[in-house]
This record gives sequence, C-alpha cells and structure tokens, in this order.
Amino acid sequence: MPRWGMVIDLDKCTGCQACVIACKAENNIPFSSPKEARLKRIISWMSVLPVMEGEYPDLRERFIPRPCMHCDNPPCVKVCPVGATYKNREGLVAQVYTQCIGCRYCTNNCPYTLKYFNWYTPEWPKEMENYLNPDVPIRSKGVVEKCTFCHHRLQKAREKARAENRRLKEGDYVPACVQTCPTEAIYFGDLDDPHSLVAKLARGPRAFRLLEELGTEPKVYYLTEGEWHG
Amino acid sequence: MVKIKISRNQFLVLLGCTLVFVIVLIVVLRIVWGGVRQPIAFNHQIHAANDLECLDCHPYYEEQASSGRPTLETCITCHEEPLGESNAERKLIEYINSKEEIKWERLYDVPEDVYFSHRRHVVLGNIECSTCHGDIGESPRPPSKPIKIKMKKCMKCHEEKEVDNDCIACHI
Ligand code: HEC
Ligand code: HEC
Ligand code: HEC
Ligand code: HEC
Ligand code: HEC
Repeated sequence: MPRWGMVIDLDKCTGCQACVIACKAENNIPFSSPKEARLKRIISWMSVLPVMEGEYPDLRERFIPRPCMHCDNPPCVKVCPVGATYKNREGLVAQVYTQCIGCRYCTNNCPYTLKYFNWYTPEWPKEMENYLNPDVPIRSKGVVEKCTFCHHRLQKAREKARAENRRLKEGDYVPACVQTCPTEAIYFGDLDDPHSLVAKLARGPRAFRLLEELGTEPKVYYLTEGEWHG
Repeated sequence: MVKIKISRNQFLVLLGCTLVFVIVLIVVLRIVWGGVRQPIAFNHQIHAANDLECLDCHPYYEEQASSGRPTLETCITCHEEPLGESNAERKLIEYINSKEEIKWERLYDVPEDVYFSHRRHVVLGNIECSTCHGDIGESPRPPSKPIKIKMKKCMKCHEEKEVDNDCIACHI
C-alpha cells in the first residue's frame, strides 16, 4: 500500500507560480476578485508564501509553495463532526463534498490554513465554461475544499495500469503542480517505497517539514541547504 | 362599486373551464418536468434483433469511463433511406435531412462528483450491461423516467466482489 507524499526543493523554486495556475486549471478553481482577496476568501489549493530572510540590506526573498500537507496525523480530521474529511489507507487526506456540512471547524483547525470554504457559488467567464476539467467536480457554495494531491489522476492511473495488467509504477500518478513546475522543484511518489525518489529525498539532510513541532506529521517535505529561517 | 352579475349557468361554465385549464396545465407541466421524453421513441429491441451490438451505438465503454451515445452519423449508415413506415423513423429522417443532432435525454446519471468508469466495470470487472441497466438494451421503448443507481447498490456489489469502498474511490 503506497503512502503518497511530496517533496519541494526550495532552492530550486523561483516563485514563478506556474504550480498555482496549473492547480487552478486542473481543479476548476475559479478566479478571485480583489473583493474576495480583501475578505481573505481566495481559494488557492496551492499557494506560494513569500518569506524575507536576513536583515537589511542583506535581504533574500524565498518562496514556499504550499499544497495541503496531507498530514499523517491530521488536525482537520479530528474536528469534522460528519466524517467528510478523513485520512484514507494511502495517506491521502480526503474531502467528501457531498458529506460536508460547511461548519468550517476543519478550516479553523488546520495549522497551515490550507483548507478553503466556498463562500460563493463558483463562476467562470463565459468563454471559459467549455474549458473546465470534466474529471473534477465543481464544488458548491457552502462546502470546504482543499488540495487533493489530484487524486482523480490516481483513479485514472490505477485503471490504466490495471488495463495493461501491471502494477502502478513511479510517475504514473503525479499531481498537476508536479507535472508543471518548470524547474522540476516538486517531486511526488510513495514515501513508503524505500527506492522511490521522494523517500530518498525526504530522508536526506536538506529535508524538513513545516511546523514539525506540532506533531501533525505532514507528508509534504521541503528541501533547503543550511538552516531554515522561515 | 361595480357588481358583476353572472347567472348560475355562466358560473358553472366558468368553473368548468377553469378546472379543465388547471388539469391541462398539470398534465403539460408533468410532461415538461416530470418524466423523460426522448425526441424520438427509440426502439432498442428492433436494433438488437437486427444483430446490432451495444458497441455499435455506444462506442466508448471498452476504452473510456463513459459509454457514449450515438450521433446521427451512426444512424445514417442504415437510415439514409427509410427501412420501414413508422412515425418514429420518419422523424429520424427529418433529423438526418436537416443534419441536426438528436438531443437524447439522459436516463442514467451519477452526480458530478462521483467517478464511474464503464471500462473498469465492463472490461476489467467483466460485468454485463444488464446488471446495472436491466433490459433497456432489449426493450421496445425507452424508460419514461430517469433511473438512479444508488450508492447502496454500488457499495453492495463492491462488498461482494471485495472492491475498495473508500469514499474517495468514487467521490473524486
Ligand atoms: C442502434 C443504436 C443502439 C444500439 C445497438 C444500442 N443502443 Fe442503447 N441507446 C441508443 C440510443 C439512441 C439511446 C438514447 C435513447 C434512449 O434512451 O432510448 C440509447 C440509450 C441507452 C441507455 C440509456 C443511456 C442514458 O441516457 O443514460 C442505455 C443504458 C443503453 N442505451 C444501453 C444499451 C445496451 C446495453 C445495448 C446493447 C444490448 C444498447 N444500448 C444498444 C442506441 C443504441
Ligand atoms: C445497422 C443498421 C441500423 C443502424 C446503424 C440504425 N438502425 Fe434504426 N433500424 C434498423 C432496422 C433494420 C430497423 C427496422 C426497420 C423496420 O423493420 O421497420 C430500424 C428501425 C428504426 C426505427 C423505427 C422503429 C419503430 O418503432 O418502428 C427507428 C426510430 C430507428 N431505427 C432509429 C435509429 C436511430 C436513432 C439510429 C441511430 C442511433 C439507428 N436507428 C441506427 C437498422 C439500423
Ligand atoms: C456497474 C454498473 C454498470 C454497468 C455494468 C454498465 N453501466 Fe452503463 N452506466 C452506469 C452508470 C452508473 C451510468 C451513469 C454514468 C454517469 O453519469 O457518468 C451509466 C451510463 C450509461 C450510458 C449513458 C451515457 C454515457 O456515456 O455514460 C450508456 C449509454 C450506458 N451506460 C451503456 C452501457 C452499456 C452498453 C453497458 C455494457 C457494455 C453498460 N452501460 C454497463 C452503470 C453501469
Ligand atoms: C455489479 C457489481 C458492481 C456495481 C453495481 C458497481 N461496481 Fe464498481 N466495481 C465493481 C468491480 C468488480 C470493480 C473492480 C474492477 C476491476 O477488477 O478492476 C469495481 C471498481 C470500481 C471502482 C475502482 C475502485 C478502485 O479501488 O480503484 C470505482 C471507483 C467504482 N467501481 C465505482 C462504482 C460506482 C460509482 C458504482 C455505482 C454507480 C459502482 N461502482 C457499481 C463492481 C461493481
Ligand atoms: C462505490 C462508490 C461509492 C462509494 C465507495 C461511496 N459513495 Fe457516496 N455516492 C455514490 C453514488 C453513486 C452517489 C449518488 C447516488 C445516490 O445519491 O445514492 C453517492 C451519493 C453520496 C451522498 C449524497 C446522497 C446521499 O445519500 O445523501 C453522500 C453524502 C455520500 N455519497 C457520502 C459518501 C461517504 C461519506 C462515503 C464513504 C464512507 C461514500 N459516499 C462512499 C457512490 C459511492
């Protein structure tokens, strides 16, 4: 049984936001207006956090792309009163929209603030309506959503492997952000497979995780040289 | 104040008209919103009897998630000239002549957030169409109502066949 995880090399990230756009296109996430931005209601399953390092005049800007951390010990799951969010056997933290009652306990309990509430019925400019991704449902107003590691792609990859009578292999299933990253800074795979690239990178000396001290056991690892001062 | 005087007879006629109007309205509304009215009463039975396979008209289920439904191009291969005398066929030929695609109503439809793959079930799972669709493939007329395949039914078979019932296997 795989345990899906991601590794993001911060030393390779240029902050270009291609992953953010790829994610929005893949997952039918609508554009946000300045009004929504002011209200802090932007939905962006992948978001890049800029971080200033050093002291003036020795400043350095760093970027941290942040998808859902798919915690092995997810705080959001503990507070869901209806079982709409849970961790499945492959470690994906799932969100079942039809089950969600929109109470937003989970958004509040996510220490990374990476769960998003649908305050509005999503809308697209007319020209774009034919360009939505048919593999991903459009969420309705009043439910919570978040990065799924593009698990609809897993479903297709698994079916394809099954049709070709073989096991799933590395690279069959990668989320849209990974596929898009121009500097190839994002890696994805099975953390429990000792030979996989992600497992090797996650074990390496450059690896760390966000807010590790909380014990959430995120499955998104970051790589950087030297100390992290984020 | 103006008083409108009507006789007993006039009143009854008026009442009768109103009643008829209401009934007609209800019937019309039921037809419009209630059941499914296909643009042409398509007869699966006749076509099955003529040795057509499901795949001839639903071309994708061996390779894709959806089965797909026939376009006029499929019908034209046989119906360019009338084969019989039925009204339904006459309508079809009107469509063919005007090159206007027939807008078939959907009968089976899972919600948008549910992933259902025909290939997975028909090819990899070796399940007959009739297990889920009953005898629609051999029936002389389309069902008049949309048919809902309930989650319970999906899960029950999965249990029997030891297939994963993880919520997000279906709820993408
Ligand atoms: C000659 C073409 C043709 C063949 C052959 C054919 N179908 Fe159809 N099928 C249609 C058309 C046209 C419709 C849409 C009209 C209707 O619902 O009856 C349809 C509709 C259906 C639907 C309902 C789809 C929906 O809208 O949800 C099912 C299920 C179906 N067919 C199953 C079968 C099966 C099973 C077979 C093989 C035993 C088969 N069909 C063979 C033409 C065909
Ligand atoms: C391979 C040949 C073939 C194809 C393809 C085909 N049909 Fe037919 N169809 C027939 C035959 C044969 C009959 C029977 C004619 C008869 O005996 O009256 C028939 C009869 C019909 C009738 C009349 C049924 C009745 O109630 O009497 C309709 C309507 C019809 N077809 C619609 C369609 C539509 C719509 C399509 C395309 C989705 C289609 N057919 C594709 C061969 C075909
Ligand atoms: C395990 C159950 C199951 C089996 C077996 C199955 N279907 Fe379906 N079928 C469904 C469901 C569920 C839908 C609705 C799918 C949706 O809404 O996306 C559907 C939809 C359809 C449709 C509507 C249009 C479309 O493109 O999806 C057609 C046509 C159809 N099936 C034909 C077939 C034929 C032909 C077979 C056999 C080769 C078959 N089905 C076998 C469950 C099944
Ligand atoms: C009659 C039995 C039957 C019914 C009914 C049925 N399934 Fe399945 N389903 C199967 C089988 C068997 C498989 C495994 C196929 C294989 O061997 O790859 C499967 C596999 C699946 C998978 C892939 C599971 C995985 O672990 O990747 C999904 C998703 C799925 N079905 C969805 C549905 C949905 C949605 C419905 C109801 C609309 C449904 N099924 C109804 C028998 C059924
Ligand atoms: C095998 C496929 C499958 C699995 C597994 C599955 N569902 Fe569903 N679910 C469906 C289908 C198909 C529908 C739409 C048909 C219906 O409403 O019954 C549905 C509808 C629903 C609905 C809305 C309709 C209702 O009954 O209220 C909810 C809520 C739901 N599912 C929750 C869940 C949860 C929670 C799980 C995991 C415990 C789950 N589902 C697992 C196929 C599945």
